[in-house]
Amino acid sequence: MTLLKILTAGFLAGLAFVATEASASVLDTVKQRGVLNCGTDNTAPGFGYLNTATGKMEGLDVDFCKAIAAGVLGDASKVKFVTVTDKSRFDAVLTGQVDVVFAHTTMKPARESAIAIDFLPINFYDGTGIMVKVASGAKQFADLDGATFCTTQGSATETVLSSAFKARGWKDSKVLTYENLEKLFAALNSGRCNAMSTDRSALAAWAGNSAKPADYLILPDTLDKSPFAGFVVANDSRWRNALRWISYGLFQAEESGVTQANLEEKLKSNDPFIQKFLGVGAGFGKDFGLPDDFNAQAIKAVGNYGELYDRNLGPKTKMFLDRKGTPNAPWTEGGAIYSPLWN
Amino acid sequence: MIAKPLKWSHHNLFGKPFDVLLSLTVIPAVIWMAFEALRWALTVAQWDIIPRSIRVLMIGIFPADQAWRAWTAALIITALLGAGLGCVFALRRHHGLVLALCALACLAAGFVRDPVAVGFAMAGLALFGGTWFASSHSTVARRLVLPGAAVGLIAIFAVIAPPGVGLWGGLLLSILLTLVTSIVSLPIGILLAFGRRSRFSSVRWICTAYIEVMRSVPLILVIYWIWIIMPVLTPQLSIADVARGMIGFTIFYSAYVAEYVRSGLQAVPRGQVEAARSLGMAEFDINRSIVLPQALRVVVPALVGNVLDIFNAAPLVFIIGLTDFLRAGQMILANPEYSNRTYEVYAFLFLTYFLIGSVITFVARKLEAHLARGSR
Amino acid sequence: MALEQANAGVARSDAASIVARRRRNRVKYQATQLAIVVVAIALVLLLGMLVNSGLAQRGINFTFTFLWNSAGFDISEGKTVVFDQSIGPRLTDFTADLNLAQAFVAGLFNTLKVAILGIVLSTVLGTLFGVGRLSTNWVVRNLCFWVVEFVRNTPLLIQIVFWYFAVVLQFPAIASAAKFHGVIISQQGLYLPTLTWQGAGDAVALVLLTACVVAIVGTIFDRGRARWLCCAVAVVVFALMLGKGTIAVDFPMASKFKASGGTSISPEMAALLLGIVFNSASYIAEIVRGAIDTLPKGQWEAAAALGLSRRDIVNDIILPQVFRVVLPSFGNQYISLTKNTALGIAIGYPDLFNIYGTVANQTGHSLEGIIIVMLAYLVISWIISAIVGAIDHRLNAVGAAR
Repeated sequence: MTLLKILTAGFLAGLAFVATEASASVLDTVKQRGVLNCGTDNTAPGFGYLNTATGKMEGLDVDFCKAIAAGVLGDASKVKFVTVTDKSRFDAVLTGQVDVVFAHTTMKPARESAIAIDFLPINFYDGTGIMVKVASGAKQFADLDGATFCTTQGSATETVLSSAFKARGWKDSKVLTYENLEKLFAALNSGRCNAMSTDRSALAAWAGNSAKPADYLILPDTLDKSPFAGFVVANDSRWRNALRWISYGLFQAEESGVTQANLEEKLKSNDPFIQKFLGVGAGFGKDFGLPDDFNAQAIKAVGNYGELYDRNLGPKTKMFLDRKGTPNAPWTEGGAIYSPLWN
Repeated sequence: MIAKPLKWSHHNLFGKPFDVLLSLTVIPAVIWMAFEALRWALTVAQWDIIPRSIRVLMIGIFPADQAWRAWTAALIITALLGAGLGCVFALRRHHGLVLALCALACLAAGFVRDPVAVGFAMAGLALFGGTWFASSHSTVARRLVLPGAAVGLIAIFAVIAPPGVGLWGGLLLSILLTLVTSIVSLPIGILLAFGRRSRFSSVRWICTAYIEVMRSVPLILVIYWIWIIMPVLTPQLSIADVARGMIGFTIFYSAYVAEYVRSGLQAVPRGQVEAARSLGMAEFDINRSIVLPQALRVVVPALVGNVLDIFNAAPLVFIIGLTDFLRAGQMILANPEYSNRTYEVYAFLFLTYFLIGSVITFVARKLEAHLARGSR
Repeated sequence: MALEQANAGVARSDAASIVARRRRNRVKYQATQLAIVVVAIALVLLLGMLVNSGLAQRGINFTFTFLWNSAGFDISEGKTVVFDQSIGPRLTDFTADLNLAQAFVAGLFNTLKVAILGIVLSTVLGTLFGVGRLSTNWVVRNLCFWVVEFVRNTPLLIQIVFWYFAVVLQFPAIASAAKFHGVIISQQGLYLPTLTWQGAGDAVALVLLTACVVAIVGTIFDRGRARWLCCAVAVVVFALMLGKGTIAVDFPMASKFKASGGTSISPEMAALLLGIVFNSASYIAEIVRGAIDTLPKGQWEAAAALGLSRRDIVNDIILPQVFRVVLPSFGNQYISLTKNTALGIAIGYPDLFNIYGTVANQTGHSLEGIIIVMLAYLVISWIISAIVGAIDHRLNAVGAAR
């Protein structure tokens, strides 16, 4: 029995030790640790995907993680990718297991109000689309009264579909939820679902890469907007602001014409804004607790927003998503990729 | 010539009208299914996906340039398995033949593919056979097995941990998870089983409550709950996802081990304890050197079966974002390019699981037979 | 007791010292007992406090009030309880307007639906497999063996995915599905015609219906004299019901996307059921086979010598003895089966765990959800244990009396 008592006492002491308060900003924690824990998906090609041929993580969300590691720690390789699922992503950031999550997460108020998280700037504008098989004969959303819709569990699409049915007074339509897109697509192919509903970017990728792309029709209707953004734990404005401005920096770099290739050149530029932006001399970083050259580091690592978009999602990739004419184009070309004023 | 099969089939297939009916419906159905499966596997299926993504399946997101670490760990595991097997049954000539055939198959497959993999596979087989032979033919080697296993396990972790435990994945993760859980849950389970028979009703009550609660809730919930609650409890320590998954598994399976051990404890005749007491032995010594060894001996097959249960439950770690063997397969299928290879990948996963599961079941059955013979 | 009586003859001083030592021992025992309880309670309290402070520190709001918020999402199947102006609580299909507590109830309903059906079916199938492994027919014997092997040596998660995508979803679409007297087997689900009650839906009809069902159940299961009484009651109640309305057959009608009317089993439920029934049946088969093996061989031989056929031996001699032995193991298996329904998440079956996932994602209240789901599973498991225990007690009491 004494053994038990000693063990218990030891355990209690251990708990008391590890439970001491910690209320510093995540920014300090990350700098102290020297590694950024970044939550991403690993099953979403184009956003966060483990390339099974190379064994490397790639995608838009992955590049944002790298940019932040480069901006905060000055080294894009100081990032540890932690896989989060649609189910675990909020819990992961709330419990401090990851410092930031970039996992194609739709930004909406209920998530910021009910879950203690804060969103970062939107890094991709998507919309909830519907895909059917051509053979079904459906041409638009209105043809699908009574149909079975499939979507991923825990996604914003679940509530979007529910309210779309309600708005149209559809009583017999059902929503089936699967844990991943692969099952969703299989269910559509088998005919279990009459329609597959998720973000348009994913629909395009699945249809475009299938054996017979002509078999699928993405309906013209966009049920709702689906803006993607990373998020951090709520009430930590130092961390959140640092990440916001690293993200905006990628947008601004595209607008100012700074690319991964011409970075060295631009570092020697005489333009005072470019100098300050890239942190040659005094930059913007100090007030955020970042190194002054955080923008230059981020661009060196992943390029500007346009470059990382084209690399991961553009028409040359398997995702076939042209930016032109979409909100993902820079604001100078009529899109919504807009950085606030720096100077 | 023909009389013997006729007699056999009369006895075994067409004995009674009902048997005739059964045989006539079941045999064609089975043949048809086997034929369809074979036809699909040989003509329709495109198996190129498997060699192309074998690394992700085996080691998940473990960095490619560190793959030798995983291979080394696999070698140690095969050596330990061989040694363990050798303690129970001797390596006979036909076992050697099977091993040689496996080696030949590896070699044949290897001339087409990666020579490094073949080298490792051959080394693994050689180690397996070697340790099996050694421990079945030499008492000295057998005495070295337990310390060897301890050293081996530490070596596995020393080899595989440096790139970061968060990178473990694929079949490697499934196996490590099974190993750690089955080893750690054993002492905890034994303690719980004794706790359930304790003199103190409070200890009894606490242990019973723990066991019953764990046996009543789904594993997937326990894992997820531990995954959430641990960082809240210990904000200073960042415990890797993998470790938390293992803790969840251990907490859950300890209860099952406790129940198996308890059934073993009940099988030890009461008279033995009383006899030991009358000899003036301390309670602790009685339990340690008289009750426990006999109890464990009875429940070894059940515990091996429990290892299989753990291995089969390992895919549930997908819930906390770990990439085990099954999830690695799903990750490959998550690439839209491979959307028409679903059946190939699942068939491969299924067969691999079945192969490993069958080996574990086989060992459990052999152990059962061996122990039954020993107790006579 | 025996010891005390033996001590009575010993010298008084000895007895006194023994009593004193006993008392000391008892005090020591109680003190340790108390210490353990105090430590355990302190530990639990400490853990609770730590979790609480940890949550507060991270700004996680721990409350159950979110349960009364409107759900805002649909669930593909499942009934839930609503309270409105009618006679009391009633079951209805879940819709997005209902609150999250009712979403959990719908999930619980789905879990129970699969669990109860699964328990019944796996017991039957498992017994068949178990007996089949001892069949004289070579094919049956080996088929049973290999099915059990395949199922036991692979993860249930893969099996469920296999049943769903490789079997259930390979059925024809509803438009081209085979229709047989209102039975429709399609990948949209299995549709069966049902008997429906057409007429007054008041309390009297409800009472009559319940009475009728109870009487019929009694007729089927009671083997004593009460059987005839039940039968008579059933006939009388049925006649009374016909006086108040009619019973019609509701045939499912196929439409463009699905069928309506009748009763249906969704593909998800069918696949989950197939998966867990085959899985549990394999374990039950092993339990049954093990139990049959432990019976003395002489029983088979004696029965065969009496001229009983093999089927009679199994039905009348072997199985009754087996069931008396295996019930506790069956109980454990039933609990595993119920827990395994949580894997429905892999194929989109909206069971309790699946609903929890959706709720946690929409509201962020993960911990509260887990507590609710855990409690629900605990209660279900205890109920199963209690029922199995009661049956076991009764069976063995009867056995002992014989």
